[in-house]
Amino acid sequence: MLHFHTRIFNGKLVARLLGVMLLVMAGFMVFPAILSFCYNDGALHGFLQSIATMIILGVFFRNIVGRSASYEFHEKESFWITGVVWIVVPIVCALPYWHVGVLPHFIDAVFESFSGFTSTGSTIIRHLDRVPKSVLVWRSLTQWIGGMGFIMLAIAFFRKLKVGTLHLYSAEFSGTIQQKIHPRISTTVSRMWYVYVVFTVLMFVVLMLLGNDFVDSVCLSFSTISTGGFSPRPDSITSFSEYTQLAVTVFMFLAGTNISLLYYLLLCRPRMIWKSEEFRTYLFVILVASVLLTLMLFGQGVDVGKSAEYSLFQVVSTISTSGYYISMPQGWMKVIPLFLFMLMFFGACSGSTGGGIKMARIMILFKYVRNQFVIMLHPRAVAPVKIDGKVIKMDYINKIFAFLFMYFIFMVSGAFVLMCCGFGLADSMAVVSANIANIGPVIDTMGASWCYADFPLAAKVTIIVEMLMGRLEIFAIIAIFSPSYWRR
Amino acid sequence: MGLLLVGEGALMLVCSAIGFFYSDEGALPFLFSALFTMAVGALSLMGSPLKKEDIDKRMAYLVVTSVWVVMSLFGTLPFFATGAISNFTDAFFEMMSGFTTTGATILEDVEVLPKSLLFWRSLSQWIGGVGIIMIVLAIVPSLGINSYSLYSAELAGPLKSKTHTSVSATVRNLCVTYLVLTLIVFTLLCCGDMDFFSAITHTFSGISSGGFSIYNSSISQLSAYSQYVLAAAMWLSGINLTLFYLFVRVRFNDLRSSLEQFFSYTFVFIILALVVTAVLNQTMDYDLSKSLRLAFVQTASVVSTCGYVVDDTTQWLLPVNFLFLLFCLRGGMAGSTSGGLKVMRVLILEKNVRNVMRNRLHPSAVNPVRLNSKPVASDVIYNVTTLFFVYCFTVVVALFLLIMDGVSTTESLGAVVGAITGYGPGLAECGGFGNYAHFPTFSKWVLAFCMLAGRLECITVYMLLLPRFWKR
Repeated sequence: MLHFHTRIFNGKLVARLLGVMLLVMAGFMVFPAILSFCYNDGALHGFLQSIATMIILGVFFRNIVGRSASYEFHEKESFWITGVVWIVVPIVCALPYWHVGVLPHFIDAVFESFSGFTSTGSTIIRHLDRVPKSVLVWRSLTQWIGGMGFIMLAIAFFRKLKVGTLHLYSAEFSGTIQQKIHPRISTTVSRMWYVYVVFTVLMFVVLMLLGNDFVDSVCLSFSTISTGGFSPRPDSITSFSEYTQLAVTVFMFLAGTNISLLYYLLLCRPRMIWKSEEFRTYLFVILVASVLLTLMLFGQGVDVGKSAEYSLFQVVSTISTSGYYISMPQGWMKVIPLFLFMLMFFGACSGSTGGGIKMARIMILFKYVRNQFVIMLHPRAVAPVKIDGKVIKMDYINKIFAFLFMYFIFMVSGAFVLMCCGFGLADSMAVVSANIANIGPVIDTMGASWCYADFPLAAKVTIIVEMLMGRLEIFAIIAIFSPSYWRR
Repeated sequence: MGLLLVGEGALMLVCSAIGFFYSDEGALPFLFSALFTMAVGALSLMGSPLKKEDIDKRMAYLVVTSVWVVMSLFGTLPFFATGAISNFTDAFFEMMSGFTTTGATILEDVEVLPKSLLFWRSLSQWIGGVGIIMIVLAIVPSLGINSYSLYSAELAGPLKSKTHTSVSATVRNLCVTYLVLTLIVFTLLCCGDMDFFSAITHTFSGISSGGFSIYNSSISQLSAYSQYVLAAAMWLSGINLTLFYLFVRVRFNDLRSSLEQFFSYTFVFIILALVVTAVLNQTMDYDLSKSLRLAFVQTASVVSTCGYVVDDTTQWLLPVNFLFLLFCLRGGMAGSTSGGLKVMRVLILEKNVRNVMRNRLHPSAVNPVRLNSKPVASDVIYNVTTLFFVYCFTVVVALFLLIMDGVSTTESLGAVVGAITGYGPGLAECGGFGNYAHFPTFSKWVLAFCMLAGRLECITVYMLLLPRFWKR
């Protein structure tokens, strides 16, 4: 805060944007409030209370702190905007859980809110069946918003931001290989939102046609397209019909692909999609992993159809970092959790709503390491890393390595904290990896998910941090807290 | 290669002499194994009229890796001959663990073995220690293998020159340093209450950061004095040998080039030891002096990836054990007998990350990664990052294989990290005073491979697995 009012740092803009985001969120909250009114589920009062609070806060930040802000900003502000918005807005948006009385402890509400906005899907609510429907919709809505991100929202709505939008865009949205659909960022972002909305509506229609009720369809389509993984039912997807499960699988797969590729899909240009090396790898990894898992299950005596269905669902859910699960009968196999754990490290495609390390990064790393071996053998060989026929710069690869190292550090330190809280080694590692990759529920040997409500406070806070780090790919948050950020 | 086998046979003769001296049942079998090994060595020496100058890069990779495999193969002979281990997998695992200075054992009861065998185990670690130092510090830089360019970058002054004479001079100097260190530790141990035999075996295993002990309970029953001496020995074994040499020769200017690593290594050792002391004092109802001793000895064992165990560490808190695993992965200094990623690499990785972050904030700024206030070439950074990635990849794959083989998750993690870093003991059943006897055969082979890969820093070994390597 020391440099908040210096000439260089445009702190007012940060406050103004924060205020705007709070107002926009209050606007979104009207939707569950209306639902609550229709269903008369007793949550209306809580929602109205939260909306009022958010409007007051929003107006305070937008019109009082951020009054007459200039719209000029640089990298420094873009990190700051991203960080502040991503920390403050989820905390404020935790209010409905608290006001409605679903989660009496505020920290639990914050946990649920972060799990929503980071599109992780770890739930702390013990009895989902007793939760008002409007709150279920709000949970899924937070995932839907968080899947694209606040900044994407801001860019789409806030046309005055012109200079430096690219910094903002790349501070939040994982762009490994930027495939911009349009040279102008704001147009790109609008088109991405368009694709996002179209697929959400499409999924909603499909689910309704399959005979699901309104709330289930809304929740599932919000949470699937954002690769979030909140389900309106306590057993995730298990109790839905088989066709619904299949539909969810398909849309999870789509949600894990680069949004610009989905844009081409809408334009009916499938060749553009097939040209993407990352997409092919994504498809390949999913197929191989599903086949392997099917074989493992088949080896255990499960019949082929059932094991194939289960495998495909679970593999897609893990790789696209959605985190839905189908409970499997007890005693199926001990290796499955481990197998899925390994898949957690891949992550979805870059430029998608999914989390994790991201397919493109993994591809670049493998290609790079392979090339290094060639160079070691033939020192004079020139072996650049190419993706889609384009050479990837060494600078960029180094960034990926740095990211991977930080990812590793955060995983390990998170696991360390959990161990200090008394969890076992394997459990801590699994929980932390699932949350930093924004997957959510951890499938243990029983096929059921963890109940995060039993975790001690320190563990909850750690997991919140992991989720946020995973969503913003570490740098944006770290940058704010690093001393070199404040120097000069 | 033949020469090496002859050498190994000769060393077995020494063991046989030890056997005769203590008149145990291991003497004669050792004699036979020694003669057999020497015979094979001599034959292959006669069979291959390869001149030294002929070694090209690919040969170098092949030789470096096969040295360890062949040495371990023949090293198993005494175990069969004496009948101590009847199973080939077990014997190979034990020997690989010896020559890679890991210290993981499959023997459930060490104390019943003949003394000559115990001596052979410790000696194998000592030889493994010399081997890695010679290869890493002297031979490989002269061949210009990239994966070790780090070391050659670190080495000061005369060691950089690539002429044949200076290489052998380097090897001689380093061996003398190693020998002197061994002698000092041995003398100190003898000054305490240890007898000749246990002093010499523990010296061998300690100074090579190996970790084989002649007792089932590792070094926990030794006197406090001996434990402190061993802690010092382990700490020394994690330091670049060149530093000692330069220090004795009073060439402080050259010394400066590794000072940062040295301080980082020692600083982490002390901090970690103090933290562990506090934890032990709070949770285990040991008094302060005991927890201080246990903490320092065990931490020294960890940071140098030695693998002596001073107490039943499985009873210690899980987070402490987890920290131990992490610091094993970090390892000692480059150019020492310790394993792991090495302090220098971790420093480079860390600084590189900081740099990348700074560059994101100030994209046009130019700030190279600096070590000892000298910029590090970007080639070296890329090399280090590659190694880090390959290392992690190995750990993950090995972990997967072990768990598929039916080993519990915790135990597998401990075992894989223990094997690849050359630390030895893992977690749960195979941690503390435990052993690897109960592991399935396949897992033992995986672990033996991890030891080899970890010792030779992965890349050297994987090079041989590439199809491209064998193409001409």
